[in-house]
Amino acid sequence: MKKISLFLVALGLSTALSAQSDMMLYNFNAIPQVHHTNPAYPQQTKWYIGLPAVSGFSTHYHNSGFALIDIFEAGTDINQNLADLSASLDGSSQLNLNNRVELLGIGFKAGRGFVTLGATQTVDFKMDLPYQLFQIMFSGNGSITNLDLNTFDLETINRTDFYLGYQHKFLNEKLTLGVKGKYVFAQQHAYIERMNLSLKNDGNYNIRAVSDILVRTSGPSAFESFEDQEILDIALPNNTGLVFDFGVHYKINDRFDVSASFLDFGSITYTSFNRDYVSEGEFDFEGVEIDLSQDDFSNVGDATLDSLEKAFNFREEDGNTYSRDLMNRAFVSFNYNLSPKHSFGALFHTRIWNGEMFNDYGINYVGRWGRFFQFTAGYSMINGTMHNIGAGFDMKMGPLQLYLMTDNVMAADYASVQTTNLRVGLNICFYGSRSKNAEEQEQKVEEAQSAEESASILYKF
Amino acid sequence: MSKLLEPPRMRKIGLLALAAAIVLGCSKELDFDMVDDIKVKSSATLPLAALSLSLEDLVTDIDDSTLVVDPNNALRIYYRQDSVFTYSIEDILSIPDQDPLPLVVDKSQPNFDLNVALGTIAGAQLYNAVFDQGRIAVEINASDTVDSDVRLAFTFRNATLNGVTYADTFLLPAGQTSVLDTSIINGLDFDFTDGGTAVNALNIGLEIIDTANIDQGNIVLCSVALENLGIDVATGYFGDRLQAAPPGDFDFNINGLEEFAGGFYLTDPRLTLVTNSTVGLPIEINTDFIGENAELSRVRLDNAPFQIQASPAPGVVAVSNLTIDPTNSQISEFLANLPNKIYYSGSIQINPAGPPPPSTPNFISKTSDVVLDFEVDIPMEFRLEDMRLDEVVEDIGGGIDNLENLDELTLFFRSENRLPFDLNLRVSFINALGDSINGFELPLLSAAPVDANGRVSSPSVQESPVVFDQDLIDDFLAMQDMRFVASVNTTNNGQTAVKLFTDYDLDIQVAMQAKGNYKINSDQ
Repeated sequence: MKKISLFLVALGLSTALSAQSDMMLYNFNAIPQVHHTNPAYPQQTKWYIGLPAVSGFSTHYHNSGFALIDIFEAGTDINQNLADLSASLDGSSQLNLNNRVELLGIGFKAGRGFVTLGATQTVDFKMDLPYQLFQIMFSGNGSITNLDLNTFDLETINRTDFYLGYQHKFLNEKLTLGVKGKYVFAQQHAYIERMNLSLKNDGNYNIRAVSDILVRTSGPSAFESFEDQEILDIALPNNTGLVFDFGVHYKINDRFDVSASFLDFGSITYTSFNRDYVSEGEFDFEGVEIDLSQDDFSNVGDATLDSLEKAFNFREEDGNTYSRDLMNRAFVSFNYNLSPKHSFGALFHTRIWNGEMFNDYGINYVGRWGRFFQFTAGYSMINGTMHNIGAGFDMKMGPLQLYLMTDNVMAADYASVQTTNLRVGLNICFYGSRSKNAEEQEQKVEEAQSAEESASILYKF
Repeated sequence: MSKLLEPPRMRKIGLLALAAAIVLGCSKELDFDMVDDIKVKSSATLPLAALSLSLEDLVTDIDDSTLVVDPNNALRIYYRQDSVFTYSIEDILSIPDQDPLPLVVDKSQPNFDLNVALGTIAGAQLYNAVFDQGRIAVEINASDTVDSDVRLAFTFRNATLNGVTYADTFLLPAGQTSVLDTSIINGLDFDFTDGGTAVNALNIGLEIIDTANIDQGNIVLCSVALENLGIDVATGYFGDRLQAAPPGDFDFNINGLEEFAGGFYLTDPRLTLVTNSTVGLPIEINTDFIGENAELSRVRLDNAPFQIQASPAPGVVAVSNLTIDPTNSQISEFLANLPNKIYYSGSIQINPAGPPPPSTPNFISKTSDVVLDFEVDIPMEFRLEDMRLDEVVEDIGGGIDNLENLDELTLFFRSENRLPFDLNLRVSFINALGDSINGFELPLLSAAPVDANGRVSSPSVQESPVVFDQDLIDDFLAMQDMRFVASVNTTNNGQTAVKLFTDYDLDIQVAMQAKGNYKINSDQ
């Protein structure tokens, strides 16, 4: 049973929860949802409708600290593995989990522009791996009484975005600018505003404990009196914010284009069901104080606990309003179009959380092999984790478009996966009639390069 | 053929499939059973306790402390047990019931005088006495009945009642030959000296008042006895009576030393036996004090008998203090034994030197007594030489869990000691058979140095780690009882006498460093 549970956990971490790096999605404009990575990325479709609830489901898992194989490799000493792992973890080790569901998505061409609107539901969880605890528990020379959690961060949010986006082509369709406004309702949110917690020996006979902790939450306390709440107040609470995505795409010539986007620019103000967990204090513990002059020592333990509680001043505070920026993301891409059917790109992606940047780098190939089948593949280094080979495709069967992609096909080998994601969905979309110019260009490329040469390039890549 | 299945595309797909196969083929095998082997290897250094002891607090916070503070803030032992022995008038002078005295009268000889001696105990010779209680028991027997009532007058010629010679009348009713009667003589004042020529003298007279009512030849025999005599006041020589007192015991705890035994040598050991006497006679008191310590070891005080002064006058308390010191007892050994219970017994010898001069006779009253108090009032100036504490804490082995997950455990003891004595602790692990299987030594306190006056001059700091290696941990877990043997010595291994002052104190810090090796899945 334990093995099954562990397996399910591992499976869950490796596939069901995949990371929101979007390295494969960004340049793959075969599917309309590319506008989630850059609202200015030119759409192939003339219009599309994302089928409610099934048009897009993505999940992301990223653990920059370790893979299962680092711990559970058969034939190794697990305690040595954990010791090695505890030595390799550091302040940049991080765990991210993200799920996003497209509740509704519609897009249509309007002259030189393209309009998108819809709604998504996102659950996002990110935390620093508490590497100090690993080192204390498994390094062999760690001490519980030499603990410093001053760098620990955690944030999680469950939110609904209602968005309206528009992109427009300028300069003879060379330049595309896009913007998307999102009105966000955050059902649940929690983050660590301050986490200064240390427990350190000052010699053998003293432990100095310092806490300056502020954990802010919004939403969970609603469930304490769930039956007394209006369901709409919980589903669409008064934790709202207007957030924007900005994008640009510039086609330098037939061979090269560049693009960039800046996502989730804005903040959410939390006013509903807010609760802060606070602790501030310092405590020097020199053991239970016993006055041998007294006869009765029965209450010394309780007195110590009382002192501890008073010193740290643990408390809950309800009703404090706060604002919190969403984690910003940015993409920059440079693409080389070998032909209208084959392009290669280099992509940079960063996430900015609590002032710290977490960067991804990748190269990719996009094969627009035909309207009914397009393919992408690439290699990424995601937040320091290497060897992420991604792939994806879309298959169009009449108006129905099925797509599936991941940033790391190696996730099939769940033992060594540290980063992966999975994006799958079903759209109804229409590309419209093929343009003459495109057909001519396609013909020229087919004449210049044989299909075998293309395969050779792909093989070398 | 669809475009997807055209040869170039088939080749691409084949290459991708091959790559996937290589990737999957390289995958390593996972073994989740290994989770059972995970061990948390960590350590923690935890302060356990900060113990403090202030002599000032010790003295002031404990009720009924035997430790008191001098004006110069030095500690003293003060203990007083009142009324260890109490002797009242019954223990010193009592008059037994007297045998009946025969007095014979008849018609021809109607008067009868009798001079006899009062019966006493232990050769007591009374000069004067006032009885606050007593009665005269009279039995009249005639050889024949009388036709009319016959009155008989009884007289104590050497006794007065309210200033008048005591006389009483008894009646032999008509038609009877005998009668029993009593007369209360409370307040009767006797002069037993017969004009200064005798002691214990009783002059008794009997007379037939109604001689006409008695026939010739009818002989009347009166039997007179003094009974239930209780003395109000008396003078004389009360004899050489030896009177034992009921034995008893009392607790004698010096705070802080209750559990220790032996090795306590006071520089100036002494105690005082205080007597308060309102009895006008010399008394010698023999006492026997035996001290028993926590180990049930007994030492006898072995002090000499002593004399207490006679009260100079009725109602005046004569206080006699006997100091018991090494010159007249074994008090050094007695106190060194650290008694926590003292058993006592004793007796008094009155008039140990024989009769007093007539000019200063013994006297006593019914409120007179002799009370002996036990008092210790000595400075805490002492040396300790191997003063011991031996305690066994039973059945503590079974309640200790999880120590098997420790690779090593170190206990740290740090003392900052402003007390002038060492404390070394020997801890033994006792198994179920009562055998000591392991243990450790802990030099817990190092004596603070003292100046020439025996006063602590600076604190002494000592830090002692006790390392529990795996063997010691194993034996600790196998232990059932734990035995603590403490040995305490004053500065210089018990050779230097020290004094205790209230500003002495002691701080002990105890910490634990545990190196754990905790197997998460302990079911395996």
